[in-house]
Amino acid sequence: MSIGQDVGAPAGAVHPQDFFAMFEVAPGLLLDTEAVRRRYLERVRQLHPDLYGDAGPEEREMRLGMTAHLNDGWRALSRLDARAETLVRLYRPGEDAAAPVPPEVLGEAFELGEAVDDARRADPSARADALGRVHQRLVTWRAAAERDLVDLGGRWDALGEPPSGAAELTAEHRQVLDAVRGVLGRLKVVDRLAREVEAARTGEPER
Amino acid sequence: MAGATDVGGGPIVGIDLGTTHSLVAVVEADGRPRLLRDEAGQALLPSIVALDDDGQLVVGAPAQAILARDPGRAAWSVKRLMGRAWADLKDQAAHLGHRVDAAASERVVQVRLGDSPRRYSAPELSAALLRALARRAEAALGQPVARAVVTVPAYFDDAQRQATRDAGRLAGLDVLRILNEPTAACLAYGLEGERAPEGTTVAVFDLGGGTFDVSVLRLEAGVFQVLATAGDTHLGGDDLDAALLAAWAPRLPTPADDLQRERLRRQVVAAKHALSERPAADLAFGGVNLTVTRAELEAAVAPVLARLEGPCRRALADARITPADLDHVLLVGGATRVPAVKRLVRDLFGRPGSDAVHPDEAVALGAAHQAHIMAGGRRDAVLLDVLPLSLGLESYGGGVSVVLPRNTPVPAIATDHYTTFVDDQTAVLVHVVQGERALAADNRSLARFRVPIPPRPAGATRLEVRFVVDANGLLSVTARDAETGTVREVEVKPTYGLTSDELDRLLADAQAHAEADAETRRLTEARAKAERVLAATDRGRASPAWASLGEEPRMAIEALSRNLRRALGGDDPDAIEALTKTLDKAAVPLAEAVVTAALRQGD
Repeated sequence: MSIGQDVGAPAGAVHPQDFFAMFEVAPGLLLDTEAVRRRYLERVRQLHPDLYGDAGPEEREMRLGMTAHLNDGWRALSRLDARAETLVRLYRPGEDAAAPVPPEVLGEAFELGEAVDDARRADPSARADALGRVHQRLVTWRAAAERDLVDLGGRWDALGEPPSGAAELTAEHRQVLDAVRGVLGRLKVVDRLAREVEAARTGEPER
Repeated sequence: MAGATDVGGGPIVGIDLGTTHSLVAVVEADGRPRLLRDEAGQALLPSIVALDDDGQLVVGAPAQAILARDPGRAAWSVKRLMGRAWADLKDQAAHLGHRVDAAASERVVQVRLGDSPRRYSAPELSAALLRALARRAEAALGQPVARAVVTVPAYFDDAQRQATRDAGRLAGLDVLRILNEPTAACLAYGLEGERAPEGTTVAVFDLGGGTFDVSVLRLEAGVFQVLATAGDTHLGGDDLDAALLAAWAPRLPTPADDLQRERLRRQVVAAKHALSERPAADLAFGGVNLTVTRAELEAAVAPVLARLEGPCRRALADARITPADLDHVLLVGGATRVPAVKRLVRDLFGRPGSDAVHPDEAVALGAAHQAHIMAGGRRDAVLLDVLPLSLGLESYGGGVSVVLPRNTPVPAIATDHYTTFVDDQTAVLVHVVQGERALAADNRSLARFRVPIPPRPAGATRLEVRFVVDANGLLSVTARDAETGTVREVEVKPTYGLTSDELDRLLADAQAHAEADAETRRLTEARAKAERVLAATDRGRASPAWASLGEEPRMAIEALSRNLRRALGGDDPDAIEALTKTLDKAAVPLAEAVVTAALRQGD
């Protein structure tokens, strides 16, 4: 009777949000994040319901919705990994933003997962050391993935702005997007392992 | 008057509802916040609630006195009980010291005070504190106070925030905003100085009596943007006290009863305070005089302080910054006075904590600023806070499907779609949880509800679940069957806290009490005024001027004085007020005669 799988929005029912347009920047990975932040904060100051304490409940409700939407936009663009996901969703609606990872990455992830499990059974000081080593590995892994995203962002920008509509993307644009999806797949694995490390640190049971 | 917080609907006050003490503040007409003090000039109201000899709840200093002489009739650190059930507290009940009625505490902790058959929930006890602060504000501002901004630890979950709002309602206050304490302190810091520190990154380290928060904020373009927050709602000065008690009690005589135990606790707290100033202090109990040192204190509290590190590291990591990116570290909360805590802050953040804000007052002053903003008093500053703990749904197999991750900026709205796992399911059970643990059962259960659906094959139903978190960090959830398009909005039934029936009953109670209270206050005021008029009349009658009055006015004054004295023996404020007025009027010639006599004497 409990709730089943998270299946995402029904395909075609929801248009992908163009958060790039929201902050008046061209879709891409290498944005002027300072400009995005300035525009975000400026709009928060225009919309935030707290500044309209004397407004009626309907106006406050509307302002809450608008501020929540702005916050979504900020979350979608402020960090490189989130930005990559936002870019893929814009041009590949209804598709999983993260591509399945290749076997060699899965193999390494499996080894690190084993290391975390071993650490759980070790005594506290050995556990901290072992988890520290896994953590360090994940930091390096993440940094490499982010470097790849920066490179891909450069390639994307060099191609110039894509024609509007997903169907009309150039082959080069599609290639870059596929590569971005690959990196997002790797990052997803890193995030999952990072959560396992954190759980092991606080002594939580295995998932 | 009452400052710019007074824009239609009366003033909005800022309240710091603390574990050990509470404060109320308001922004004045000149835009500066002011703490409101009681008759004795005290800004800090001890957060102690006790049952007095007449069976009435009293708070503050009188409650503290009852705690000292009859600890069973007093409740302290009530904040630690907010939004909690017995099951959440069992393991720490011993050092909480409250007499919790385990049987009655399935949804809400119920506290026994003295021999009273009545049980008190944490929101009711907190309401007594809020009511006292509102009354203090009314006395200071000279008008009714019905709206407030109330602060909570940033790491408070939804149930704890709801409990705080319920406490406000029970105290007759419309809580316009539940504000996070470190954010409030940062607001006080940012708006107090000569100029707003533009483009700075600030960490707020807030170690109070019972809770710990650490928040990282960015101050830019008038927006106080919280980047991340972390903490522990059961870690504070109380835990330092408990650790010290455990370390030192074995070297002292065993306390014989509750009263002795409470006395010993106070001695330990006094020694803790002294050791913040000096390397050694005396601890006297039961005829034994012990010298304790700061080194001993630090050894005893080390395990407690170790628990502060994790949240600090996590807040920095979630904000994606390193200590080098910080421009300031603000220390808030009484426990940050402990030298070992100061040292820990320096080690963790790479810089000493700043004393730019008053550790006890900053939160209340920040709450007053927020009240001022919400009243339209200023438009150049706004807060953007975050959700402290992830919100999610229990998924198939007892796991958690995260809907809004921790440190998401609020307000936030998320809509997720879920499908069914079993053929011909006629309902879906939605279980809303909050927390970071992997299993739903290990997190705080916020609500459970059933959404009826028509029987269909597994996977054919698409259920849309919508989470709305407002600027207070408070959640509401609705669900609908997206397949049929029929909106089946389901009201969330909270798993914790007072039910709406209980709240209504308590509100009716409070209303009756408020009326009785108002009557009592009127009577007290009428009596005081009558006493003043009688004293003045008596002085006149004893003066030489008395003889200069005609017989008729003298007899009238004497008769009215007698009648008023008789009315003072009763409790009818109307009679006292009427007689006072008449006597006051009748005594005018006497007052004139007294003045004339005095002037003549001066010639």
